[in-house]
Amino acid sequence: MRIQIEGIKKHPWFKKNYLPVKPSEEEVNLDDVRAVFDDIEDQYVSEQSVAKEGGPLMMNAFEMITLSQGLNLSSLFDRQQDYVKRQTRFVSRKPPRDIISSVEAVAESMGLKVHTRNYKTRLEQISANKVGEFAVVLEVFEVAPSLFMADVRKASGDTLEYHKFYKNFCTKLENIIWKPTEDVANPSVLRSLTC
Amino acid sequence: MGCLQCKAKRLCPKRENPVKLASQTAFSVSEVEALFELFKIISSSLIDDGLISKEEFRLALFHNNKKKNIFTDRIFDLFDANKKGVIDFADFVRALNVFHPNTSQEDKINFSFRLYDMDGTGFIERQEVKEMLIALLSECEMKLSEEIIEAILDKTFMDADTNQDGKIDMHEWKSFVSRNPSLLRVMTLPYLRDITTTFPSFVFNTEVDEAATLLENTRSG
Repeated sequence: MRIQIEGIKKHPWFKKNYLPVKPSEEEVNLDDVRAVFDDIEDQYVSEQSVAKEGGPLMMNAFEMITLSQGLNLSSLFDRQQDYVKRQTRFVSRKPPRDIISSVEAVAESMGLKVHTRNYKTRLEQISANKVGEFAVVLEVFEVAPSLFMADVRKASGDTLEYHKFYKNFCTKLENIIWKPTEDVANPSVLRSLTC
Repeated sequence: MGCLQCKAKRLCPKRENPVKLASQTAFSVSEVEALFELFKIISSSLIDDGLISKEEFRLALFHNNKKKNIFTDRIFDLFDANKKGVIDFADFVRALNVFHPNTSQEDKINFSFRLYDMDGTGFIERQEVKEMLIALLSECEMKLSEEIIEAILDKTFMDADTNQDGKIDMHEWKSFVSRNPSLLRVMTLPYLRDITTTFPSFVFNTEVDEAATLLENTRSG
């Protein structure tokens, strides 16, 4: 049987560097959109690009440090003076594949379109009248053995809607989000801490 | 004499000539003029003295001048080339130049090394990385145990600290960054290419105009 459009769309050949055609949006920042699919990692041969057994990318201490708002000088160019926390992320102890599938399920239940490539997923809120649309990119990284971080970024669109979405989104993902308490040392984790 | 004349002329004797700054950086003269518009906004936000203080810098980045952040403070220190405690326009342009998309990787790598070498010893020590990591975790409101933090540091130092002496030297850093190019992502601001659109400068000084035309003709020629 001949491959259908859906089949073509699912094929890795098609998905490589594919950016779906979208009607132009008011607040589209192409740099964010490019950043989603044109990661610097893709342009260079990186030892980390295929992590152990095809798992998510490892995030080392410096990569975590670069997530800081204090290192993001693009805020200097913000004409808007009302500060809205732009970066959002959570940690999880669940296996990365489970994190991704939970994220997909929750996003779909919230009416968003989902597009996943490896451990990076793009969620889109489309509306008929183009009001309140936004796109989100979520990427799962390994931070330590059995500890994963989901970095969530607004890729384009309405910031306020994005933050409303994120709050709701996290409530629905409570069962995978790890909220460590003060005495955190888990013996089974410690045993596996031989890198 | 003094600032009244400066403001009228839009060119302060103490402020370096935009044409000179353009010739020393990746910016065109009109881009330097646009950066001046941005500089004026930031430097006048708390005290209108033509200089950016640490509080004004924090305000520009976080819209909150009380928010202490070790990374912002460190970047401020690097912008403040002569350790004056304030950033003047030349400092501003020269430092932002490092973040320009056209600036060499080498310059970006050097800047990032100095950024993380917080005490300026010429090495990025494990303790410094730990401090920065803890600051990041606190910023993200993510609590991780001491054991996990140490595990992250162990893995990072195993990757980066090739001679295993507990600190990262410039040579090791260069090698580490070449294996992890995403580390330099924060060192480039694509916005700098559109600066004349974001901060259009409508006031031109005739001297600058002629020189600018000359310079831009030479560039495009």
